[in-house]
Amino acid sequence: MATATIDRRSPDVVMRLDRMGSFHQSRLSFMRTLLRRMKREAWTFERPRFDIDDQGVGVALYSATTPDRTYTLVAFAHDLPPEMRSDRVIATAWDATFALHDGVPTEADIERLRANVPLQEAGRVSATELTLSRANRSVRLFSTVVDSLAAGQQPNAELVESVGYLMRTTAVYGSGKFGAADRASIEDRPELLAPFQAEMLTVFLIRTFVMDLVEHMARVASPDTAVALEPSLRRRFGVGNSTGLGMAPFLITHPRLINNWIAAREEALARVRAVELATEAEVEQFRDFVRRARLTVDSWHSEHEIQQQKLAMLDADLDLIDRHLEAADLAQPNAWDTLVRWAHETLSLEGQELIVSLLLEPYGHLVDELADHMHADESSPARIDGSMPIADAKATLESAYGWALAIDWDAQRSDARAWYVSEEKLEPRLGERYEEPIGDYEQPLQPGRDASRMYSDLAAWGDDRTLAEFLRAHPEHRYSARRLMVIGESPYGEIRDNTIDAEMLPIDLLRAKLSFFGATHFDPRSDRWVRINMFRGAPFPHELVDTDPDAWTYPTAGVGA
Amino acid sequence: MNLSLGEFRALVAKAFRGAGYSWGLTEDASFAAMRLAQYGVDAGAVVVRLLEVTEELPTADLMPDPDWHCAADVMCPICVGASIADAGGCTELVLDRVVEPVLIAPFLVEVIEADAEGYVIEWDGGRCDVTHDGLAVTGSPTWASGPIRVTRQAATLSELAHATRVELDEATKAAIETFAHRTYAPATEASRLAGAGAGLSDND
Repeated sequence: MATATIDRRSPDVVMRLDRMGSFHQSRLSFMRTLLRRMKREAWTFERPRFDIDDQGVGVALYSATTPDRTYTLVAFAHDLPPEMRSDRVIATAWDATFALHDGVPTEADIERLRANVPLQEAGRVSATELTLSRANRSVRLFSTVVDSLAAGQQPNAELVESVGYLMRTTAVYGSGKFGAADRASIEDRPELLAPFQAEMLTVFLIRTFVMDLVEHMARVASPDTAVALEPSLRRRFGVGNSTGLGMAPFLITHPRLINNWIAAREEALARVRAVELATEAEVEQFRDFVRRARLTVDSWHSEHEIQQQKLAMLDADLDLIDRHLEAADLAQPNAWDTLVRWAHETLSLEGQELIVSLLLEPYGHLVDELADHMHADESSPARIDGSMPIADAKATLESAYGWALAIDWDAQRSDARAWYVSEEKLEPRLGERYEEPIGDYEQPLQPGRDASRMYSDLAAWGDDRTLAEFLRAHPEHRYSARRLMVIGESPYGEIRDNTIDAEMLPIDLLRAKLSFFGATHFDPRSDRWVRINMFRGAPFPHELVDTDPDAWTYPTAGVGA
Repeated sequence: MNLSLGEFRALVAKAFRGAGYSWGLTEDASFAAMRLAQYGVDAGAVVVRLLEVTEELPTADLMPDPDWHCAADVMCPICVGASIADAGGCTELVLDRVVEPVLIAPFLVEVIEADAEGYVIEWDGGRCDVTHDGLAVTGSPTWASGPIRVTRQAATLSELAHATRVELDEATKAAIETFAHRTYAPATEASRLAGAGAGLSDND
């Protein structure tokens, strides 16, 4: 029971890129929010149609029915020549394409979607679609699994563990993109109020489709000998995902929303740290999750040097945690707070943030309700209080952007990068400001530098004049002025790091966001795109009724690995 | 083409940026245009008519001074609207040469408290009534000549449109996209590889 009060960690500690790039999924991740709701509300799932031919081409429908309505994944399977398979956003064809339809699609809807969804960005969906998505097969695993099953064998469990998915999505577009429904038009539905629920539902249903497809292809190959996947091995397949720079600016352009994500997680941690005496069951549950986290780390592979180093540190952190927990008496008062303090003094950022996520696991009753506060109303730009005295604007800049004011912006390394949008694919990119002609096309994704510029220009203004007067003379600072309004109420809304520094790693931004989705097995493929696994270990729709919707995110000993 | 409100807003934001507006005003402008569309105004056409006039003008010259004049020889409804909003509203303004004054209205909707007095914007041949709940245009939606009057007074909306999508004809969409296109950096082979992140194989 919570009796003490512990402060949330400071934004100056939490909102640093290296720490954000070490976040792990938790009870508050959006996949888990969705699964808890599905279970609680006893959603029902059906596959009203599976018209996939012997070449693996056709259409399938998967429906999810809530107490109030039905959503249907419309899945198109294609026969993609291997040379066309690419995860990059410049791809024009995929192994499978999807839309999440709002309701039960008519024949006309399916034909309309058949003409558009396979084209992805080059097609259009409508207000009756919530998402648009696509996926490619894992060349390493898909045909191997088909061949094993066709021969009546289960695929090699080690191989399954090492890859972890049969298909990976390369984009899941929602929120009005390419003609889909605006978020504002659906957020009055409780099941879609939490962030990215339509996108998570899409991926959850895609996972089922992919497993059905691989078993179908095995049956087609050898109808007499083919077997289905053994259920516990089947659950070890997630859906892969490749994510590039397109996602990175989101964390900067949605400060109110990001604040609410981080604030919820920090509040959850503060609540657990404030638990005076942990029960024996809670302690045992925590110890169990530490053991299971080790299995996750063991099955987490990356070919990228940066992540390999981080994994080595995490592995060493787990050794330290094990040794610490052998000696620690967690029945002592304030044991969790003591553990967090120890972790911050002893472990790498990976280990510190893993402890944060693990500590939430035994405390669903304290923290799960925070998931209801992770959305934000971003329908209108924040109002600028023009009556704010210049003195107050300066003081707020000093307190919230002190880290940025301390940077030497005249040094080339400080603004070596520039975010821009390329003519070619209309996607965000990150370039070298002093090597490419991109400076004129810079997007407003460097709040620190821009706040510093505003601060410099404010110096010439008397303290008793107002922000409104200043902005009439300096409309170029309006963007920073608005962020200043937001950060007052949303202290976790700003990344307190230089997003255009020569050494900045975009994958840190990607990981922070993906961890809130609930992703695992972060595998950077360069400093600016990353692969992950989604829903690995999760129950399938038909298994939810008999399963704890939160028990799957770390493997249990004896399965897989 | 039928666009979601979010798509329209994103496209308009790029267009204002492409026409030279500051990022902060771009946020205000795209929101204002989206709101106009929601209240049934042909906002795409309004945006094109405005940007065709203001595209060559520096934002600083369009910002109104304390006497509500500006250095340019026309006034911009986004700069006027943002300045009114920053001040928390106004009592009565008589403005000269505001291109597409209807774009001031969404800023007023945002500053009117519930149950408070509304505003009326009047120009030769048309007017826009604004309340806490929204706005409605009567007569010509566009200004041609004469003064523009923004008055705080009781306003009534007999009928409030509530559009959830935006229909853009091809010519208007193309015109907005021409402005938006100026925000895109020309692609080079180096940026194609480095900017989006090459690296390890993506087909395995």
